[in-house]
Amino acid sequence: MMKRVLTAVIVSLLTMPSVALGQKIVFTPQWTAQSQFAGYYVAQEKGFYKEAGLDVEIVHPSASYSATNRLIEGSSNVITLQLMQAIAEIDKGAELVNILQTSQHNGLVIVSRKGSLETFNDLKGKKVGIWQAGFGELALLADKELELEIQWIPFIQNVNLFLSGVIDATLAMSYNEYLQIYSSGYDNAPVLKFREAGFDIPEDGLYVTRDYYNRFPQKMKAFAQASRKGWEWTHAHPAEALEIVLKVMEMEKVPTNRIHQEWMLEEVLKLQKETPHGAATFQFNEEKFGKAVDMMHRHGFIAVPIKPDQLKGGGK
Amino acid sequence: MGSFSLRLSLYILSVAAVVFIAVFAITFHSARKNVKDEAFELARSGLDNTVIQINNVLSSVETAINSLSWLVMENLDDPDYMYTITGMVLRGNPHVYGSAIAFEPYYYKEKGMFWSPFSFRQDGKISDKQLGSVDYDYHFMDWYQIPKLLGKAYWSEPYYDEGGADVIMSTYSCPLYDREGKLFAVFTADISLQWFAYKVNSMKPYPNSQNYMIGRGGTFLVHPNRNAILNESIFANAIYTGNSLLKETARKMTAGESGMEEMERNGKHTYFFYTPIPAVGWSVAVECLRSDILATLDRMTIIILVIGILGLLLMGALCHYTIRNLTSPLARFAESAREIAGGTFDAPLPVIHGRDEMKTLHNSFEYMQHSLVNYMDELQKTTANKERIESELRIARDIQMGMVPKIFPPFPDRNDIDLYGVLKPAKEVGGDLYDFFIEDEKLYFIIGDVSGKGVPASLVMSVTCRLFRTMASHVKSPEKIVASLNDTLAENNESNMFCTAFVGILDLQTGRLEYCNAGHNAPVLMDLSGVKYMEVLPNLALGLFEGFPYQSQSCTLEKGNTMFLYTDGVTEAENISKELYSEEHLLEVLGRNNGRESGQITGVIVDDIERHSLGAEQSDDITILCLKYR
Repeated sequence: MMKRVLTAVIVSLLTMPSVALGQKIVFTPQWTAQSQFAGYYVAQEKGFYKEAGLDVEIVHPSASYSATNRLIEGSSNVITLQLMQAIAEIDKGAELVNILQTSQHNGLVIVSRKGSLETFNDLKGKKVGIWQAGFGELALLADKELELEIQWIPFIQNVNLFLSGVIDATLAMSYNEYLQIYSSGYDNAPVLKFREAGFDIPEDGLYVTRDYYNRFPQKMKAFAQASRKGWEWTHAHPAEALEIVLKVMEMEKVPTNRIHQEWMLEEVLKLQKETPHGAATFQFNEEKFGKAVDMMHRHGFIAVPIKPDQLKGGGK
Repeated sequence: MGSFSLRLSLYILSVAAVVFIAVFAITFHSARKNVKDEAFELARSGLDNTVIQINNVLSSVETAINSLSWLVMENLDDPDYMYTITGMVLRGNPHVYGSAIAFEPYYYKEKGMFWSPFSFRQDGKISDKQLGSVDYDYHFMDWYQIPKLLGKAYWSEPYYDEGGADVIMSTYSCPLYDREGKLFAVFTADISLQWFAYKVNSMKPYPNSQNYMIGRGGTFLVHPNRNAILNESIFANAIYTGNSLLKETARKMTAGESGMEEMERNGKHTYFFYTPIPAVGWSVAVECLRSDILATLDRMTIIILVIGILGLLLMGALCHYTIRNLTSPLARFAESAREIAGGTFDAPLPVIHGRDEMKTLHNSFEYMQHSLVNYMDELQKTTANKERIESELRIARDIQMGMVPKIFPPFPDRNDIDLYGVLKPAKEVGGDLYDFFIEDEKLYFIIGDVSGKGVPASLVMSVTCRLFRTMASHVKSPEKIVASLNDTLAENNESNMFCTAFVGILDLQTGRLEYCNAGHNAPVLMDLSGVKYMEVLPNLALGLFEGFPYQSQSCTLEKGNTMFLYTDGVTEAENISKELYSEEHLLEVLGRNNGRESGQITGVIVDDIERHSLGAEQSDDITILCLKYR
């Protein structure tokens, strides 16, 4: 008995230094707390990070201090980013490593009023709302690719521009703004999905700087692993996961809207599946990545094509 | 008795209950309609009132901005003068929280991309600042961009004020155009929705009513749950809860309609009243619980029902009690009736105080008692009378019987005549008679039957008997005896009574018989050749015609011959089947007994008649006189 206790102490003493070496990991999702990031809250709440020997703190960005800025300036260690945003950042000179690709499908849609704009070609010359702060690059790309000459009307946030009727359609994320429009009495509004028009570029993934990755490769793998476990648990227990999300939102003093968050979670989880009835794959699809890079390069969104390796962590 | 009153009470009760239910149902129905109408009126007027007040504020703000627009145009050459104008907006309109005149980028070269003079209230004072900056690019704000794109004034969807926590604002933005028609600025006024929310929330038609205000997209601007404000939408709520009626209602609300919907929400039955604020495209609603609206009615209903049911029960009990009280004498009457029937004619009757049917019954009973007592008295008297009469009749019978010879053999010392007689009156006294006596070796005899029966007949019989005795000894011939009997009876025969008779005088030495019949049955002669009726002239019964010429007849009896004389009571004796004893039968029986002693013959016949008429009442006097010459 004594021997066994002693062995346990020695083992823990031996393993401790390697954990102690890395400090706390600061993780920042790209937006305020919502179901879009459920898996990470679950991993934290259910102790998956702790089980992996990680000390993780989740810090949300503010309007003036985005996740990308936090990562570049070093105040956050891991962030979520959309693939195309990551490509754009790399083009600007940042060195990023994708440690986990959660999204398998694109969630960008164009919502119009009932009875109009049934196909992408109908968008020609129309006034379409776009986020002033980004997220709409794929739409701009598609505009060029399909030669639609859309009149883009930038908006800050929310869907009032669309609701006021001054624009013909608006960009929306299927798991967020679309749900707001849907909740505003437009549950029959026509929806054009980019992923169905040949623009199925995956979105969210976990990114770290290459520098940080090189310093703590094992920790990052462990972080990616625990995050994946969090998402898998979320897929298995969406109702409990929703409660965890709502709890985090309350803690973060973000107005909670259970219905909106439930629908958002449903949609986000759907976009993580390769096939509608399959499981989440967490695969980094090089073909889709290549297509995104090609389009972005052709239309001058990036200067130089980027190779998949540039996003991959080494030491495999 | 109990069941009678109970049954009657139940009948009355059920009729009353039906009436009560009908009245209650009608009252309830109309009261319910009234209450509902009143409630609808209350809710609607509250809503209209609130909307009017909100509209007043909105239009005052619109007027303020629109009416100061010319001042902006007048002073476009002085960009800093704009602060004076925005300050004027605030000073003139207490509801306006802030006002800005936001210009297009580089409208004033010297002011750069952002020029948006802004006056706002702070700590009770009006402060000024320039709004635009790289961090606050108002050109993309809804309040700037939407009216610009719309080309007309616009009330923004409410939003949380960036500075003040929990203060919801809405901005009225009026686009300003230069002489070329080109937009150069947007003139705005911000109002806090706090006052609106207060106004909406001060609608309280019912204790549990809830108020809502929603924006153009169905977002809650006023909601009982703070967290839902600017966060949740009525559409999402409706879709999520599967309440298609609520979704339809929300659609009507955002379409600027007004109305009322009755729906089930959160397990409660509610009335959802809504009316739009057209200037801003919002809608105000008040949701009242049906149970609240109908609470007073429900209370009243319960009270009415309780009173009604208690009343019915009380009525039933009272009915039962009263009817039992009213009818309780009946039981005592029944008891009295039994006692009276048992012979206690003065049995006590129940005491009745009223003057109703029960009193009538009581009087009838009393009358019956009196009548019974009187009747019984009468009966006693009558019985006494009857007994007296009966005893008199018995005496009369004795006397009558005393008139006919009854000791047989009557002439024990003579061996030339054997004679036997029987007289059996049907009543106490009868009208039959027989008599005989011997004088000068001659047997005088008579048998007769007076018409009718009873006392009158007996009187005639006794008279006839007495006359026969008196006459016979003097007149000595049958026709004369009969004639004088006839004359005497016919005289003063007021009652038309008559008497049949057969009178004979038998010379006992020679056997010669002289006889005269007066309407009587022929006697039977029994001799060696057999039995046969004697040849007799009918003549006429006595007492009918005075001076009727009776004729006598004569014959000679041989020794051993027997004469059987009788009255019609013998041959007409009936059995229970109304069959007569009959002459044939008499002859037959006599034939069988030919030659016997007169007493034996008489006994045989009497017994035979008795056997024949066994069980039947004797209807006529039976008289037999049998004489045997020897």
